[in-house]
Amino acid sequence: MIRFDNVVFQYPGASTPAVDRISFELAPGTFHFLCGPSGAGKTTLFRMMYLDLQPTGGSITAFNKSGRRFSRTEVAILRRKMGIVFQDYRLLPHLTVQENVEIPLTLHGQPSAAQLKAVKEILEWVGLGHKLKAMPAELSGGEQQRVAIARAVVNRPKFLIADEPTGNVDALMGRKIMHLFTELHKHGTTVLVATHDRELVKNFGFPTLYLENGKLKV
Amino acid sequence: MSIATVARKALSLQKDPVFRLLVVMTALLGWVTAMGLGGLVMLQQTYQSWELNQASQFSVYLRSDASAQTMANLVVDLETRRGVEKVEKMTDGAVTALLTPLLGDDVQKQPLPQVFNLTLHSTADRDALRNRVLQDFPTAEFDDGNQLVADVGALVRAVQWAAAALVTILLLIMGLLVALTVRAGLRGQKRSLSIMQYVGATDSFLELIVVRQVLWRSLLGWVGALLLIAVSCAALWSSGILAGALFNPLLLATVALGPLLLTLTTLIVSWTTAGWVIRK
Repeated sequence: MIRFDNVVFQYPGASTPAVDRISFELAPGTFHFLCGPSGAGKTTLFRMMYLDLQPTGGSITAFNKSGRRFSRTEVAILRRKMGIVFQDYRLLPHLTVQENVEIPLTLHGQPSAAQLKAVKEILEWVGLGHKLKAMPAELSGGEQQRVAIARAVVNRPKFLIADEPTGNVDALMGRKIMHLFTELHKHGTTVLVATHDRELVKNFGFPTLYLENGKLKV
Repeated sequence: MSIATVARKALSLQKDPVFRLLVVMTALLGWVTAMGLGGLVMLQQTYQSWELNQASQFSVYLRSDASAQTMANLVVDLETRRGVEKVEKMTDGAVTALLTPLLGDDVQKQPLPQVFNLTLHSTADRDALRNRVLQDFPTAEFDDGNQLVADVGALVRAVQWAAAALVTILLLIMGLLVALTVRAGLRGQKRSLSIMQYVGATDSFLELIVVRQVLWRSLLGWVGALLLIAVSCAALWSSGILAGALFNPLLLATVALGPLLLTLTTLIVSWTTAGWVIRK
């Protein structure tokens, strides 16, 4: 699904790499946590996962496409095969819940009727079937995060990555969100969740990639 | 959700006041462009028909006491020269009519010059003709249409360059306005842009969203410019200025397509500016 081979990333002007010679593979259908203290390189690694940053050394293989540099079009096409969930939700404020979730389907060129059906199904699944016409600003943090998850999975991506998805919600909502992820995993989706919540990692018991000082600890 | 909805709600440039005025600006500047280009075409065509007439004219003025025999020999010689179509001696009546506006009634008391009108092809060697006349009549004077054509031609070209410069300046102003508007509009929506990119929007998709918005407005502006042009042409026609020239196909095509040049400029500029901001 996705493989890092000796991947290095060093920010311009930095004396040491933020991510240093990291190698791992996320096989299809697996669930992993990505953990580590602040400044360990989690965000950098996460951004490299969705190709927001391209490595300064080594190579990344995503969906059988390998290389150090991906073109902007390649990045866009690869992202359509992924679902990305951010800690700060990143919903478009001028679009309704329905429209936010529809965007990936629009990019796939799905007809409007099929879009609406898929959006209704996915919003029902995250428990927000009744919020179709609501604006993001009218929703609570937990609801916004579930809309973000709905948007990330509406295309039925093979790979879902989530950056601190429970970071801005209460514990109960955090568990609900994690159950959504485990449900997706049961249906064959490869999932990677970046978190610093040790309790969460312990409760769900999935394998963990632990980062410290830019290096991966097994 | 359609691309139009994405354009209208997710990446709308409507918030920018300059963008909202794009239709009016395209219509007004398109109208000025069309009038400028139409004027250029009319000037060129009027000049060309006048030039054809003038360039073939060459008149010789001889003193009144010029020898009739020498003049007859000269005419025979000139008629055989390359490029000379016709040599015609003006009658005394025609010469009087020609000079009366210049000399008034005194023309009756003056000895009349002998005037010959030559009709020439472009192949005629005017200097050789002049020299041949001077050989027999050293005091002869000439009225060469070609010199006038050259002087007026230089003036016409200067006016054409000025009009072309004006149209170019208009296009540049329009391009600059659109570039600044698109840049400001997209920079204000960097977050929306990046979210669209995270969910898989390609650069060309995002450019398309921007260009669509500009396209509709500039096409509406083109229609507005056409309406303004129609009103202007009607006004000029009724005042007699455009009499006979209005149904000239080249003129009509120029005034209709001139504003389209402006529309094309806005599209190209919006596309390149959007691409530049999105990739930055």
